[in-house]
Amino acid sequence: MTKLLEIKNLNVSFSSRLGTIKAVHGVSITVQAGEVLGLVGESGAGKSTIGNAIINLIEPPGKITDGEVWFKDKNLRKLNENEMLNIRGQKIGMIFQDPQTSLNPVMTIGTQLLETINKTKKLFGKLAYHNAIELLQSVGIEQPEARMKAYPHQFSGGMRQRVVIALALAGDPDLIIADEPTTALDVSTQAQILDLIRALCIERRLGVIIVTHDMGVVANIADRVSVMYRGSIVETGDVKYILSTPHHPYTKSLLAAVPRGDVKIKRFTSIDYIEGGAHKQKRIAVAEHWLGEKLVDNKSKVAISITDLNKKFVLKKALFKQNRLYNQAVKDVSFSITTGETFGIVGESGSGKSTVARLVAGLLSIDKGSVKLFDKEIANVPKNRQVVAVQSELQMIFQDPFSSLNSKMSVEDIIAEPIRYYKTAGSEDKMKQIIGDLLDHVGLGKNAALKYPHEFSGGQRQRISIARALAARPKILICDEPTSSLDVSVQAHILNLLKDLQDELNLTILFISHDLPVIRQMCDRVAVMRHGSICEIAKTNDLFNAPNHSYSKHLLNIMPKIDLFA
Amino acid sequence: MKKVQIASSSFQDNAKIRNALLENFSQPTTLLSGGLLFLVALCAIFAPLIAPTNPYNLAVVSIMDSRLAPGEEMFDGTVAWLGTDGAGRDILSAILFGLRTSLLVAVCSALIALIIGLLVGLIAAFFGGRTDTFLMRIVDIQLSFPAILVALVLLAVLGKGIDKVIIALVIVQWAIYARTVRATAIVERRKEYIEAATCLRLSNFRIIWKHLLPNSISPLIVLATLQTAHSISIEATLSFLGVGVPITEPSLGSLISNGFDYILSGAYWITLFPGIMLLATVAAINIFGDRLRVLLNPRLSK
Repeated sequence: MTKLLEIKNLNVSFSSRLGTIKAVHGVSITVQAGEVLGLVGESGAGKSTIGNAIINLIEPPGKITDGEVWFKDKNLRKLNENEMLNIRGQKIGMIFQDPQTSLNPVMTIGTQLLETINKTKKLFGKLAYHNAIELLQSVGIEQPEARMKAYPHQFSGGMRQRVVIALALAGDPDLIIADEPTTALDVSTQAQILDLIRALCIERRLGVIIVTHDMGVVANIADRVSVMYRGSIVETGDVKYILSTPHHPYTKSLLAAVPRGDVKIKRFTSIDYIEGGAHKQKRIAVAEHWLGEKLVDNKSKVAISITDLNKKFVLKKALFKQNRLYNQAVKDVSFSITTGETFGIVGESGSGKSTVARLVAGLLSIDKGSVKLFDKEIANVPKNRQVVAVQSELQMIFQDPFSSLNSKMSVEDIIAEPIRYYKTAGSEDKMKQIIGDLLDHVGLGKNAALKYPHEFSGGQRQRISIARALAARPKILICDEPTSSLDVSVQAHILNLLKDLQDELNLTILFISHDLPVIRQMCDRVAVMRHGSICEIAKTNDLFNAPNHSYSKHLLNIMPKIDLFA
Repeated sequence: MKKVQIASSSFQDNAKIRNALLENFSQPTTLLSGGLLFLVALCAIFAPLIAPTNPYNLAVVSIMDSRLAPGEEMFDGTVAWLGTDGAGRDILSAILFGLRTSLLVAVCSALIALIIGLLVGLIAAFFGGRTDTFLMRIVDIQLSFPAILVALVLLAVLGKGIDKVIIALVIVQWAIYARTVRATAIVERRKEYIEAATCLRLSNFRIIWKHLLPNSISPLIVLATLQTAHSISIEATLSFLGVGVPITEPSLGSLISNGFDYILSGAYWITLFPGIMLLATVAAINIFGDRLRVLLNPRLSK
């Protein structure tokens, strides 16, 4: 096989007022025709920077300081901008993470495809049109003639990504750089897109570089993998070999941090290599602490009980009832969670799982049905003191750590909010001490109190969110995809923390996720949701070993498995 | 690329903001407009101290000095650098005092309108539904009338006086603030920290006051600056038309109007200099507000 792309000793650095950050140093990789190379690493490892460096699209203040990029016996670093234009988008295609933003929303798919074909292949008129239809067919879009006239918003996420792939293929490229191509997609769509890329790679003898943070994606699609850590490649090799016998400690810890879908383990393997072991904070003895004070009364065995919950959203408003359009987001959902249990809801996006969480939390009004927290009805009852008291025993951890904290408040003020409001601490000094303890307990350290949210990373922010929820001394915790925007290593830390807290405080957890392995590790029982209703409720082990419902089987089938080779 | 920035944002954010501030404030337009604004404010505040004469002290003003050209000496020996008007008042002093009135009216009305608009906008965004529709339709109705027309009608009903001008300007302006705040607040309202606050079962007042307000206010800072300039010009227009401030406390607008009768007889300075002052003030505020907008909007500053 001939070398399609060869990168020798690439260095990229970003200079800022505070000094130069080496985003990539000394990276050498090769890609052959018909081969898929996985570039895997966590956020900030520099993997996207390599992709951008290949096509010379590093934005200032970033600069390639050293190294060569050879593409089909041409040194891309020596080409001028005009020559580069012929390579970029023609010989090297790009697929980006978010299909929503990489297509122009006000142009039809056809126009965008034709425009690209006109430019890259110099084909016009009928020839270009036929070429576009062919391309759409090859990426698996049905009825391409009709779809040519459609706008991007008329496509689903997966279909949009197919169109983006078609655009990337328009110039008959030899190399495709796919930057997190499936991160924004559902599991089942992800599987389809990965299959498509794989098939195209074989069919057209393309070289493909897949940039991803997801070990499962790499395991499914790549031939070889390069593991990146803080700007350098720590290990390169055959996928099966690397995944089964990793040598570098980072690769080992990265693999250990990926939640396993096959067996349930007590805790996630600790991965100190990644976070530098900085989170060895003093933990408090919860039972004797302020946090534990409220835990004595354990009257009810059932923490949450839901019967026939219904919620619809208005899609189209109208004066007359028959003209209104609704979307039934939640339909006749019933389940109950015993105190101290972790109950999972799993499903793809749009299945209504987050809506259920928000209905239980009282963030949305309930159309029909009953929600009881500790035997107290909270659905459609007037907000009196007792209802509010019961509701405040329920707290929520949100998906997006960047929007779930008020950026104008210091961490101390954020956590102090429930304590101040309900005057549970007694004195201001006591409160400060409690906040310090809480921050220690979630692994951030007392010093975090005086900082502001923007000074923290996603994982740290999620810890702040947890501390804020704890400050209200909850008995029920609703976690709405708490780790889906975090790196695997950080995810393992956060999930361990949640497990510990549950043990210490006997919390009841409603855990919502689309990620089956995470659900398997966290939950006692699981409900599978689809189109607003529950398909199946089962004990976690039973569900994973012998799913009853056909949809559960389907979900389990498409679950990315990296333990194939283990 | 993007991810690198997110990961290191913790220590870059502060530096970035500081850099942007320094960079922006060292630009000549910012310096010039800011300096001018500062000077104007100082003049307005200390007018009684720095003005050569008190143009409204009838004991001092003499009809003998009427319509002196710029630079001529007045009866009592002081030089009228910008000339005098038809009643013998020193134009320079009149401008300084007029500036005081103009700025007082503009700043007060902008602030009061801001507070009212802020409240209405936040309430509309927070409660949504019918409250939102109701309040925003009032805003729509308010904004569908030309500002100057509403102000004219109001002043015709209310009569003359600084307080009445302020009331009229507040009524004309609050809706703009309300709409702007609502637009920002409605985005913030949907963010998860508001849901988290709801989960803590905080009172609505507290959520609005401590969470929604601080996060929705930044566009208003810019808007308030620009609106101040706008209300100076509306006030000037009203005074020019003779329905604004009373004759005893003239603003820049009434000074311009005073001199208007004399323009054809050659006494250009009575109208020209207050006009230049008005133009300079409004321009300085506008340019400064525009710079502020660029500064506070991370998308516009690279």
